[in-house]
Amino acid sequence: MKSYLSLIRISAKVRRRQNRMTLLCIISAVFLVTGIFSMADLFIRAETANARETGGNWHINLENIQEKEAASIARRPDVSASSWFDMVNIHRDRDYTINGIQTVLGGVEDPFRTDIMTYFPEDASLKQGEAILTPNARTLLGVDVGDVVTLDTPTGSYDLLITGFRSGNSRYATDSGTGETTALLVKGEQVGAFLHIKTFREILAANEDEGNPAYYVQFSKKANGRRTLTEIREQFPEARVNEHMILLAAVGASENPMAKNVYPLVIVFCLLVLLAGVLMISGSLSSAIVQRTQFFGMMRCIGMTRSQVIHFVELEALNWCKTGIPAGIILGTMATWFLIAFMHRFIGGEFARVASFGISPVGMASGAVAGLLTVLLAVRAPAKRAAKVSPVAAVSGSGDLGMRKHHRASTHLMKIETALGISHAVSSKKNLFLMTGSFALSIILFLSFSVLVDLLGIMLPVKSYSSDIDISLLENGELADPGLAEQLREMPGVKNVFGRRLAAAVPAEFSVEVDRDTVDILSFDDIQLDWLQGDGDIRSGGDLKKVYKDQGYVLCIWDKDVPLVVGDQVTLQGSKVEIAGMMTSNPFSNNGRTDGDVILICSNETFIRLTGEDRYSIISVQMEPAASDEDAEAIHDLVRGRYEFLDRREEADQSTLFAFSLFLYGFLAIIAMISVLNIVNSISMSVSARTRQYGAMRAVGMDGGQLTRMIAAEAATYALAGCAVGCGAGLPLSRLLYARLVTAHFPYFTWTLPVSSILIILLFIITATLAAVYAPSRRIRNMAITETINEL
Amino acid sequence: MDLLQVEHICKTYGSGETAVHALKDVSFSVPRGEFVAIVGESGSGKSTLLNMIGALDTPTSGRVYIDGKDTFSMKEKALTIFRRRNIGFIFQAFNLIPELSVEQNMIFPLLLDHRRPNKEYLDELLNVLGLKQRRDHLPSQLSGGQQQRVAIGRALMTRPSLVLADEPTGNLDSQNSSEVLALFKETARKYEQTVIMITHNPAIACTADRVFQVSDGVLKDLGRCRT
Repeated sequence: MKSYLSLIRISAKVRRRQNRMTLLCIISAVFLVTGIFSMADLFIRAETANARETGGNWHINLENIQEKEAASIARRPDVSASSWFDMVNIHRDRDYTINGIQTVLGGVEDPFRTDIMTYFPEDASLKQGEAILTPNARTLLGVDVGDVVTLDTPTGSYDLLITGFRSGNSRYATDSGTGETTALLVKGEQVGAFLHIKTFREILAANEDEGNPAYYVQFSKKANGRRTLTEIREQFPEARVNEHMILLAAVGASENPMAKNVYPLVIVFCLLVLLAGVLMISGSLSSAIVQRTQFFGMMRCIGMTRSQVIHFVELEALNWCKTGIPAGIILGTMATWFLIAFMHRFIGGEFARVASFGISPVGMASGAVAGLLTVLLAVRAPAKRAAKVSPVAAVSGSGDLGMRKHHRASTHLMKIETALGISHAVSSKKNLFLMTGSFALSIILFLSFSVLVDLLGIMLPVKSYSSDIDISLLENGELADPGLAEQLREMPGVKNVFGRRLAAAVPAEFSVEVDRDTVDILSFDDIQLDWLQGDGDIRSGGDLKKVYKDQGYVLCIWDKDVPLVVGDQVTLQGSKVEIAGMMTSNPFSNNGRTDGDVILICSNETFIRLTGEDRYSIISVQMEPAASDEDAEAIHDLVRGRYEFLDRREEADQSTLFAFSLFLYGFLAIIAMISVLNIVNSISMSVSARTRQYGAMRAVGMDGGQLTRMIAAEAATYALAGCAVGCGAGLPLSRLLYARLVTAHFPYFTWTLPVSSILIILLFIITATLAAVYAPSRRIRNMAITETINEL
Repeated sequence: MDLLQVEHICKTYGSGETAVHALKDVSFSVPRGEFVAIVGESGSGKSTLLNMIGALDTPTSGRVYIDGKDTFSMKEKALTIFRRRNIGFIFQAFNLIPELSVEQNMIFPLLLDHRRPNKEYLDELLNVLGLKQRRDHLPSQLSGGQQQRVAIGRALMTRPSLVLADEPTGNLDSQNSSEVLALFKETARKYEQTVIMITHNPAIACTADRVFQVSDGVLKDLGRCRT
């Protein structure tokens, strides 16, 4: 023993049981942070790899720059690859065809094929006069590598040698954040051809056509992304810079508002977790100090200065980090592996790319730093508290720090044991604050997280009407006969078939003032009407039943600029219909708005009576999960040439939603678990600190039931105060988050009191409290009275 | 000069009608090397007085000088350091650190002062206290009397000029009591220390050089025990 601080090491071995809880708190804080950050890190790595593959390995692209300027960018040492990309006719607005089939043209340079995008065949060249086609060209044109196709343009024809086909299909639909994809994602009866940029420009020049050229830039690995981006922006103030958000965010340079929104959220979230850790560790340390009042008094008596006491307590806490942090890191990493294994097994898809036994240095380092930081922050208050212990505490043998009674327990209104329990809870303001704080924080975290879950549900909705195949009109084509729907229904692999009819811009008069004089009317099959309620697409206050058959009722899509409500009437070509319900948002637009247009939805029968039209504008098909590609192809064959066939099976993939929900709910579960642990731990320590007192009470005749009720009353006081504070602070926060994250982007969703969340919280807190009371009260009851009196 | 001078110490808890006067204008002085016993009923103010002398508690008014230094004019940190270098405490409840051995417990106050223990002095103390064979034992492996001897050893290790003992034999049987007390006196004399000891036991008080009685906060010098 060389220094008084050696006592810490010696003491730690002996007081292992007493320190277990504090250690557990440190481990769980480190575990949580390591787990989250490792998970996030591995996801981001997989996601950037995925983004690189599907969206291309580029960081920014610039529009509106000149050839000369592009060349100067290409020469920058911090740019590793760059290329022009241009595309025309994706919307079939030009007359470029191969064998009469509409053809999208894409012009690229070599780096685009070799370094930036992954969907080009490796062995194919792309010189002038050569073309790489989209994979559907094989069947649509019946061609293969080595064949020559003729591209017909209004001013002439061009022979192109096919050197390869683009790989994959809708996997590359992931756009780059600019709302546009470079993979020439053709729809229906359309093919795509990648050409050398010079051939491309030649064709466009001959036709006096113009595309929308963009210059794609990939930063080198060593480049400082933020600086490079700023410099390029400054150098070309005229240029429009688009970001490849995920890749740019990965190098910390994204200026995208979405990414910018996410950074502070992550920070706030980390702070909350840190705060939870601090409260938890601080609470357990405080209790440990209270239990050792006499020890610190004695230390002061034999000459420990206050700063030495503080130093002692701090080092003692740091000493626990020695085991706590590695243990937390190991557990956190293992939990990550477990979660990833789970995702591999049950979700697969893009999560299959997350490394199975990936080690995340970022996660581990953050765990360690968070552990150290929480301990250092958490130990401050208890250390000061210990330093304040008067040396008299050692002499007198009393001095129950933090248990000085200022108020007499009120025994008039309550039973003595309840009154004592409550009095125990409120006697130490600091302790009450810590306990209330940790309860409250769990609730706040839960409420905030619920908003994220809501947001997820809105961003990735699981709608019953998601279709696998859409059959819609060709340009100037015929409407679809209801017989086609019947025919489809009989085909193998088909689960559901439903169609919509559309009557656009029908003149209308309204019973209230509306800023429009026409409406769009859509018909829904009964099966679609059935789905509305379950999908949450109907605002409360309507009666959906009235809409079925021809009862003269319709639904209206809600929009903040449409003043119509349930009960209003619309007169359409002489017949009057009444609005029986409002739909929450417009399912036919990306942002859910109608922009002030009035869109009415009715049953088939009502639609036919109003418009006289019984043919569909679009027929949607849902396939059986076991349906094969041949089944889909059979449907394609049936409609080929007559209708547009759109295969959306890959889009409808639900795995992403499932994975994200799993992640969020997993997170909520961890938060809940930590809260329970914290609650159980706090009550247990509070009881330990009063062991002697409880022993004395039992000695003078308190029975086991009363003892349990006394502990329960104390626990309930913390829980109630925690609930009050947690809901009081959590609900406004939830509302704020909802406004910022949800309503700001999806205006038709407004915050409502999260009743179900609150009920879950209450149930949860009650269960946790009961669990927390059970073990300590049993421990005390099973202890011999003499033992409890003499324990300290 | 007297080692300890207590001048007009008053200690009042609370105020107004509920005021409790624990000590009322207590003054006395003790020369170096004297062994003083303080007797009195429970609640008479003995422990309060001892706490004042040890600078563990502050008086409402009055001064305490140890070796000519006014303890209550010192800053907290300086006072703590003064205390650990000049005053040794012995408690009724021993208050040893359970996880440290006999030897470690004894040298602990020195370590707090960042000093190396003097090996010879430690051996000598262990010898005098009869703990040589037990230097590596934990407190839980010792009898009450042995534990109190360790506490005495700890109090003497820093060679304080003043040793304060609050009923050091209160938890011991008569056999152990007289052994510990004899040892206590012997070491005090040997190392020229002033001892102030609270006791309930008149027989023990009679072995002291001087006896003070505290009753209702008032101190009376009974002089040498005549019995």
